Amino acid sequence: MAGNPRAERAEAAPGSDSPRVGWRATLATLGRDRSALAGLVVVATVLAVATVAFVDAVVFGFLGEFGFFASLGVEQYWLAKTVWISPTAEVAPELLPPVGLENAFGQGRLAHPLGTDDRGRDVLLRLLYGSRVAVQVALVATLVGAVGGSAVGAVAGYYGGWVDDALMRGVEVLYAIPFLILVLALLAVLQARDSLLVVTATVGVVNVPEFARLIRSRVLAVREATYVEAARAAGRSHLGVVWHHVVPNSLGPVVVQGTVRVGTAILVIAALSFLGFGVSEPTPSWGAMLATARDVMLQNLWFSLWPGLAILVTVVGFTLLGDGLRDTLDPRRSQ
Amino acid sequence: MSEHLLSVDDLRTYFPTDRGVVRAVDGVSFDVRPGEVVGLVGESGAGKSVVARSLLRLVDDPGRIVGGEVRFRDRTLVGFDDPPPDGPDVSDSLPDREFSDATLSAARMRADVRGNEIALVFQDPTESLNPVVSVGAQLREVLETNRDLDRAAAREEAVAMLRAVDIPEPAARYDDYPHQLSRGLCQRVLLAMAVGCEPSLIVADEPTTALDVTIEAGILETVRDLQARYDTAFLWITHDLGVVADLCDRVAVMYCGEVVEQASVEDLFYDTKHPYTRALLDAIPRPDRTVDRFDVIPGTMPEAVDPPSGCRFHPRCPDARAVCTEVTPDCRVVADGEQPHRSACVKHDAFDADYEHSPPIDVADATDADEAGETEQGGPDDR
Amino acid sequence: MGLTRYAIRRLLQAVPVVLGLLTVTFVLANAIPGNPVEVMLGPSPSLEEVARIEARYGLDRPLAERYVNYLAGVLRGDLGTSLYFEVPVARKIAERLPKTLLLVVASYAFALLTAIPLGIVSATRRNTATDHVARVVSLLGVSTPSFWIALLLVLIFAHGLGWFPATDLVLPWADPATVDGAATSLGVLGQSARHLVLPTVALGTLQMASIARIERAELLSALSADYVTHARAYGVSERRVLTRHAFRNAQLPVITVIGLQLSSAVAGAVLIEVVFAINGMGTLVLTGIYNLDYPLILGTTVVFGTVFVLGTILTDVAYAWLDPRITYGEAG
Repeated sequence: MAGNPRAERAEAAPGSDSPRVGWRATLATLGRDRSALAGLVVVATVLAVATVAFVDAVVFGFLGEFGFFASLGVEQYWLAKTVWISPTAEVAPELLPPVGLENAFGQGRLAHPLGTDDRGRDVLLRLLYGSRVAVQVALVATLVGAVGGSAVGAVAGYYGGWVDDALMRGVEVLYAIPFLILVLALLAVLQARDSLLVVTATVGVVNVPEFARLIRSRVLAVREATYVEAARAAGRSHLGVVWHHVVPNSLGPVVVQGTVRVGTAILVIAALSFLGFGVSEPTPSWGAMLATARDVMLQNLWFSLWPGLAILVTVVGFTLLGDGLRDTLDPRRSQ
Repeated sequence: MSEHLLSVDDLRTYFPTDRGVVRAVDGVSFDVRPGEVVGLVGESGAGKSVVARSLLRLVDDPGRIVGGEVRFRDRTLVGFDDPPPDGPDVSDSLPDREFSDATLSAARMRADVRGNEIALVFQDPTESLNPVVSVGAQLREVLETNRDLDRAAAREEAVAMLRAVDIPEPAARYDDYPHQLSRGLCQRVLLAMAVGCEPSLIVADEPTTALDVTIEAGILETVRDLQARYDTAFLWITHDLGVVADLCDRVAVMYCGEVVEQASVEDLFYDTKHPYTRALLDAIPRPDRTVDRFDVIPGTMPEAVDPPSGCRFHPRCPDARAVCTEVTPDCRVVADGEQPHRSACVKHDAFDADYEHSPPIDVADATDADEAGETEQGGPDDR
Repeated sequence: MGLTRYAIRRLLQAVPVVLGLLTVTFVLANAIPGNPVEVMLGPSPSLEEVARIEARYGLDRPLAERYVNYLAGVLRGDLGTSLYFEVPVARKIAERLPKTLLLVVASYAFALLTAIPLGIVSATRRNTATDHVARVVSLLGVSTPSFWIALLLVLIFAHGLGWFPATDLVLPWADPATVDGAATSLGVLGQSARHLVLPTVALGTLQMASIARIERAELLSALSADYVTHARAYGVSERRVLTRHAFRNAQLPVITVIGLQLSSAVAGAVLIEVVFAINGMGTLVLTGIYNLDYPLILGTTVVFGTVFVLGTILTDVAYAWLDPRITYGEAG
């Protein structure tokens, strides 16, 4: 038995299974919940923007390396350049305020509705493109955590015994180090300060314990349940029965947990890029923008506002959506 | 009538839900006389627990008592000035009604009625006790609140009450926590709380349902004992007709939010006057008879959101006729005697509904029962 | 079983976890490819220089031996020597730890003192305007980056209104001579409080919001529990029901959450220290990481981890104190 009572209490109580709600019913219930709807709208918008930014920044940038596409004019930030300007173009005067306001550096102008940053780059554009980093890392890291954690939890719960003990102790050690310190330390020893991939992987790893616990308690509950005995008596294999009962019942809580964790991950990414990890100039990222904002705080206070708001709105969106989903998919837990 | 300890008249308690207004208690009337044991019988979902809670105004949000009157001796526990709303348009939303001026305030209810006059014994003893407080402390708190005792005296009395309900080593058990006691012992603690407040009426909501039969027998024994000693009246809520036969003086049968039959216990068992009661009795398996199949009541009790038209039981009633879909019978006296016998079935002359000439209608029959599921029954014997 | 025995049991259980922590950090720092020597000397160092550095820092020993030396050192309180500062890591940590502890403890106190009443008010006035406002505040609290709150607070209250200083913390027991604007120990206390306000609010907001949210949820759940209805059925006053029955039970999951919050509290401390330029453990870790100072990174990670483990044991014991089901097992 994993010895940490706090850990055990933190798990969902393996009581009655959550009802298997159909997707249509879920969406219908969600539709009635106004705050969840608002969350959905925000999330959808952010995802859309981030996808466009991803295509423009990463895909086009990648393709632009190849002769065939380069000859077509495909390059990084092609879309932005066509419609407006590149998010990395340092064309405008520095530290302009938003349109309609005036400061020591000049007048705000319509071409740069939210003003410009310390290198004369458009803030609005960098804000939109900054979503790419946050969302990309958060989504992938949460997915890694969910899949990895579920696997660990499933194995631990199913086999029990020393396998369970060993795995859960390992997970506990992971839990014993405050996650930011762990991530920073990993980044340091791997000497990969600017690697978004490493950041993603480490944030993903840090997400593993949550999901491992969730799945493990599910598997344990199902394993003990009498109907498993009955099904076995009827001739189905043990593993098959456990799988059959665990998966549909776990999907709900995992989705709920995942949605909320994406929100948390965005905060983590922002913190990391604020500290200077994961992204390097000129890639736009909300956290890094806030770091710059701090340095120029006294000269242009508006610059401090926008990236923080972006993070806030996005995380609120994911949290509201997660809460709404929880009401439909995981009604046992009232949060 | 002033000789009644408790009189309930046309009580209505509704709950608004996503699917509409659930009319959990829809016009229930009965009374309890001093010192008598009245049984309230019905299947799960018939509304019995809601009745119990409504008596003490403990209905949880968003449910509300929307009509009727509950009087205890000369005090009004529930009362309204205007008549209750009726008709199909009630189903859309819960009518917002204030209690009448004569009704006791919440503070008076707490101080004068709850506990010290009417005590409630809940169904699940383990859920009804606070898990982080010792049973003795909880019992003492109840005694302090409802009897004029200071802390030390209440503690002594608590130990005495634990002994009175046959809990072994009461002084030691005082400091135990609920999870350390068996369900049977927990239930006895709840009994001790109820009896300890020295109420005139104890409302017991399925107190032995969660216990196995041997423990149950012991509890019933204790209850009979207490009743003889303190002459407390009981409203005993159960779905177990066997317990009813054993314990009760009079019985009221509930179906889908309404009382369908009310009689003395002999009259109920030997001169049943409602098809539902008849069906309940017939469904009890008898050890002295061998049958090929059990006599279950076909179909299931409808939910109180959208009850059937006319008599609510008609879709499952073997005696149903066309008139049953049109007339909604109230529970009225159909036979006089030492105790008036009430029934809510238009078969009886008292309804003047021309039942004999109405054509019989098709209802669910026994062959449908396999898919529809059985009704709950209990009690191996039948008097 | 008793509370003391439980506490001791938890402490003993923590030992293997701390050991695991030490092992993991050691492995990370030493077994990963990438020579720390190169970092110190730059690329293509001469062989003699490499040999000298290795000998000096014991890097030429076999891994197992270094591991054992490391553990022995930790037990002695020796966490190695910082490459960047060139002083013992333990000393550096001892210098920096007090400010971080002050910050974390203060923010927790702030969080608890504001969140619990907020949660109670929210639960008892469910669905009223007060509740909605409180819920919005909580939602914003968990969704806002703490370092952004810190930035805004500095902007408004330090640079804008000038009510509070924008940087650093002052320890309450500091020498008045070292503290600006304080002539006596009382003055030092005053300055300490002034410096503490903004960082505490910035760090504590996330904690407060999380705790308030769960406090509300758990109280609502407790208030609709059967035992609460039962108490009401026996005429117990609403006030007693709330304090004696609902509140106590609701605190149990709240305590669990407080324990789980420790991790983000530590992370937050690092960020807040950066914004407010506080020279505490957080900035120490960052310095170590920016300079690839492995002994420092190792040492600070270990200390953070151990403090964290102790914190969780504290919350477990607090939980056990409230919940007799933990300490008194089944008696039958």
